Amino acid sequence: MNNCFRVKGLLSAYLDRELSGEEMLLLRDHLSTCSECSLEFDELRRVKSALIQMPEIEVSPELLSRMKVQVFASAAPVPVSKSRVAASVGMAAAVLFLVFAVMRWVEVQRQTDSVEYGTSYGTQGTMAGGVDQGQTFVPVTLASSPE
Amino acid sequence: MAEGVVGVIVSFVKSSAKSADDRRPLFEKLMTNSYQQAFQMAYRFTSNRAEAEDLLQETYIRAFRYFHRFDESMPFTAWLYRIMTNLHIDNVRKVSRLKTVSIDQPVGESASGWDLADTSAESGDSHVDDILNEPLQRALQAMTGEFRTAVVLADIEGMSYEEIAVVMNTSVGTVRSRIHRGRKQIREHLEHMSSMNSQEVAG
Repeated sequence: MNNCFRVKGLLSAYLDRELSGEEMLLLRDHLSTCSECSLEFDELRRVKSALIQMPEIEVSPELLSRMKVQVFASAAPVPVSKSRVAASVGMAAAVLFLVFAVMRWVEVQRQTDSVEYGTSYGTQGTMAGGVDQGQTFVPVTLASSPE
Repeated sequence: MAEGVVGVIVSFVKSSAKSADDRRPLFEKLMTNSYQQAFQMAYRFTSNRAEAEDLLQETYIRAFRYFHRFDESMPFTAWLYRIMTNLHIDNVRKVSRLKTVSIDQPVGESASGWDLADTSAESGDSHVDDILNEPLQRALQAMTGEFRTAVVLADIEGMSYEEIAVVMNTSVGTVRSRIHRGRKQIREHLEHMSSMNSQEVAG
């Protein structure tokens, strides 16, 4: 009887054969000895079989044509194409951004390379230029400050 | 180069719009093949012919709108039922919310101890009378929305717990519990109705 609580929770799954092999065996053994659980199982089985046997409802003959009008007229592919257009525009923006980003990157790389070549070919000149810039800058700041 | 990119985009947009139109005959065919069975499910969900037709139509409208997302390697009905189930559960929740707002108003017939019952079908439609004569359909109508959905998918549609879990977007464990509790609700409802009838006969 200790198993009753656990078993009762599994009765529907047992009925639907949705338990593991071990659980199926546990339920089968328990139901063969427990009249209370067995009764509950029978009731659930009756509910299931009644649901399965529910009569088919007649569909009104013009339903399909009526629905087609609604589906293809009001909800037609408008939202679909809208979303497609939005997706396409988004994709286009992404592609353009990538193209320009790559072009810009290539340009920057070229400039960097030329600067690097410049330093390697004329280190002295560049350094001198740098010093010159510093030297021309310092007097300006000194000149603006009171002595 | 930019012209080339724009050209590709324009042709992509054109082909997208064309493919939506091209898919219409396929959708129409799938719709024709599925609507009768789908109507059965809609009817079991709503307990009402007019509401079942509305639910079915809404389902197809949504399905066509998102048809480009449909994976043709999957069964169309599984995808369709998922849409219908979501719509149905949304409708049930909307009705519950409306009921909560108008809680001070008299609820009449629904005050039978089935607090969580879905009364969406009690909208004064003349077809309801026919349906209410069927005790089992009445029990389905009185059930909690999620329980009813799981039970209908299992017993009317014959789906496995795993398939139901996919359709209801939940775990197999939750499906197992909903089906079990749903069937128990039906049994209790039938017992309740049977005792009411015997009291009426005795009185």
